[in-house]
Amino acid sequence: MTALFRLFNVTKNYGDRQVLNVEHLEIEAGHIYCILGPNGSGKTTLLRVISLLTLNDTGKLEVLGEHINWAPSQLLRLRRQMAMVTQSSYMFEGSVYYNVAYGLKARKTPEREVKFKVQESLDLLGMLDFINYPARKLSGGEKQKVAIARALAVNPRVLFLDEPTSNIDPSSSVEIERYIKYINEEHATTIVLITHKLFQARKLAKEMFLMWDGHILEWGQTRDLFHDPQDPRTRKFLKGEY
Amino acid sequence: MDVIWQGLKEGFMLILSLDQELIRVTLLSLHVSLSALVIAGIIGIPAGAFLALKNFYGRKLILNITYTLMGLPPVLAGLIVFLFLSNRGPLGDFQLLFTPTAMIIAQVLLGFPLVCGLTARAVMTQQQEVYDTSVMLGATRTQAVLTLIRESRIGIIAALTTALGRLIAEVGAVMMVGGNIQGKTRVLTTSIVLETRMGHDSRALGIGIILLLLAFIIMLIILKLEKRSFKDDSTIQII
Amino acid sequence: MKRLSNHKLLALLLVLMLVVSVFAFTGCEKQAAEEPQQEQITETAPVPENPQLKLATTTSTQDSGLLDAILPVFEEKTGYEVEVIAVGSGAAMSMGEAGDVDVLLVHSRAAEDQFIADGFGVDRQDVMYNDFLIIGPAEDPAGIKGSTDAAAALLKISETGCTFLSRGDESGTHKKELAIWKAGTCEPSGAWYNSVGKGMGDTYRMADEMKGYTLIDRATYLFNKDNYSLEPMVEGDPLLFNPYGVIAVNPEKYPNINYEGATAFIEWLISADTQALIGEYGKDQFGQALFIPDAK
Repeated sequence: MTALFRLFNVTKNYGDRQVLNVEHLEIEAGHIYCILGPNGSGKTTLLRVISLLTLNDTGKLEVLGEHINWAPSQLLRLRRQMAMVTQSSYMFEGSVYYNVAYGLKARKTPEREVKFKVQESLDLLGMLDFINYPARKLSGGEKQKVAIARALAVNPRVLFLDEPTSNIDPSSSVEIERYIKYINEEHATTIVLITHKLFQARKLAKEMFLMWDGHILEWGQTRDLFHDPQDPRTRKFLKGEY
Repeated sequence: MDVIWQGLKEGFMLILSLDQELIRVTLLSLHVSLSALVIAGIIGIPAGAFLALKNFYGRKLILNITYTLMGLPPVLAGLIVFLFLSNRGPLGDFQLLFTPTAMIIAQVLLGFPLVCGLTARAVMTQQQEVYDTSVMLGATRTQAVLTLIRESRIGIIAALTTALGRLIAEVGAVMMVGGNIQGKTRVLTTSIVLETRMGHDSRALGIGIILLLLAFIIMLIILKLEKRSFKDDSTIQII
Repeated sequence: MKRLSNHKLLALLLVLMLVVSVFAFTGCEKQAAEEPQQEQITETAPVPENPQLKLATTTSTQDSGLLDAILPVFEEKTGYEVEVIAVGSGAAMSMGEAGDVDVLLVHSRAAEDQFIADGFGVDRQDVMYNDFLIIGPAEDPAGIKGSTDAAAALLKISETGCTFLSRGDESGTHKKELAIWKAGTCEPSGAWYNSVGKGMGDTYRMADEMKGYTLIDRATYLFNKDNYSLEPMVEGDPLLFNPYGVIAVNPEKYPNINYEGATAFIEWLISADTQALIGEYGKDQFGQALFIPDAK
């Protein structure tokens, strides 16, 4: 299987502070991957680099099989195969319909197909009733579901989720976890998930990466990592001591 | 107190009388200030967005100059346009001085920095996440920038209303380049100046009332439009 | 930490600017108030009880520079401080009617008489006169150059439809212009007739830009003519003479009026010395007097 993302010696500095230094990382297609780590360990930066939102300083970066040269046309082509949901998703001023249709309209999809797709993805997340509702007046959980519907509407090969459930209540969290699993299984969408919740990682991810100070401390099958962590810091983190 | 009362009375009488001259003056006021606003908007909004989003050498300086020019004295704007359009000026051959066109040019000069500067501020307050959200949904750079501007609507509409208020109430520039010619370039504000100079205080006050009413009606319309495009906008409730 | 102190510095600077400006302003006022007193001591001028004298006058006396030339003499001699409000004669008289000014120097004889008849003014004195002239572009499209008949000249302008600019502000000049139209039994209207509603200086400037004809007082004309290209067309018609009068606002109507100052001003204005001063004004600069004194 080919790697969707391949990184060699990728670094990123903010001022004189190094926030990312990944010697090697590969993410393959088709699974759910989890990035774990304490606050400030570089999880979001890593996600932003591989989703082409943040320019890396040094190193080699391959996304969807292409070497990245940051040309606008390349960025557009590759980003159109990805989608992202963050912990408090930004809702555009307008209806839920406007928000979910946004990506399709950007792609100049025919109007009829836009309508169909929007309804389909809202239906999948049980949000069809809210289609004409102002997006900014939704509750946190509802917003996250709309954000996922918005991301799904464009049929991404890769879906990035940056702590999608950290701001919402447990029952909505469980619901969203179910959708994540469903999307991965039914649409064969690769999912890269940042989370703070160990049980969520354990429940969803096939592989996980533990980040520490900008580095990838440990990387492997979720089961192996939980049962037999190699690094003492991983052990402590997975025990919840950080 | 008498004069004020008389002025109020005369103002309403003026409105009721549908005085031909006054209607023409009012329409010209509207024509000049709205045209200037539209032009200032057409060039000011993109310019403001550009200043807010594009990083280039001298950007800070240009922004600061724009902010300074937001307070450009109307008489100075009028003088500059006058000198350019005068027979002795570089654009004298166009014979634009003392025409409504000249007044519009001067008012664009006044309105542009306001629209541009306030738009720049409105767009700058938008967060990175707006841009990120659009491009991650597959928007091109242009589409994402247009979205950023769209999301700054409230600020931009505030910029336009501020500019309109300044333009419709402004007298220095239109007096200078329009010349206050009866039936040609006389507008509400220059009428007020003239009536005051002639000692017709209550008539001046009456025209002032018409000016205020006009401004009020325009703002009402803008607010209505604003409401329509923001029906989902949450208002802050203070309990 | 450094940022914070920077902000503090900036804020301090702003406050400092404010404070300095306030002090400078009040300082100025004080100085201005003290100045005449100092001179009173050295020259033993009379000490007026109320040194503030408000003079409403036509724009022509201001724009011609006459007031700047003669008022300092009055202020030095009497210790009064004259605030000049230069407007049209109409507005000047309506200020007088409202008791907002103490003394008027205007030129609109019929209106002046009405003003006195209505009880608003007292002590009217003739001061001087000047004359008007009709000026226009050198090409003279109406063909009126050299005429001494003002009414006929205006009639010709209206017949040929040449651009004409009217003050249109009910000033003395405007009323004079209307009187001349009336003498030629012509009702001016049409696209060629521009009522601009401005002072003489501004109207002159506009007429020059528009290459139009206009009626102008000699003082303003001489004072500004080097800046503009319009030339004299019609002059010397007795219809174009323009007498100035000085009127004190009636103290019985408005007890707060500085009648004492007004009286001092009127007496000074019609005194032989001042009359000579008026007769001299402009000779060195323009080769001719702008105003001809005619106080009796």
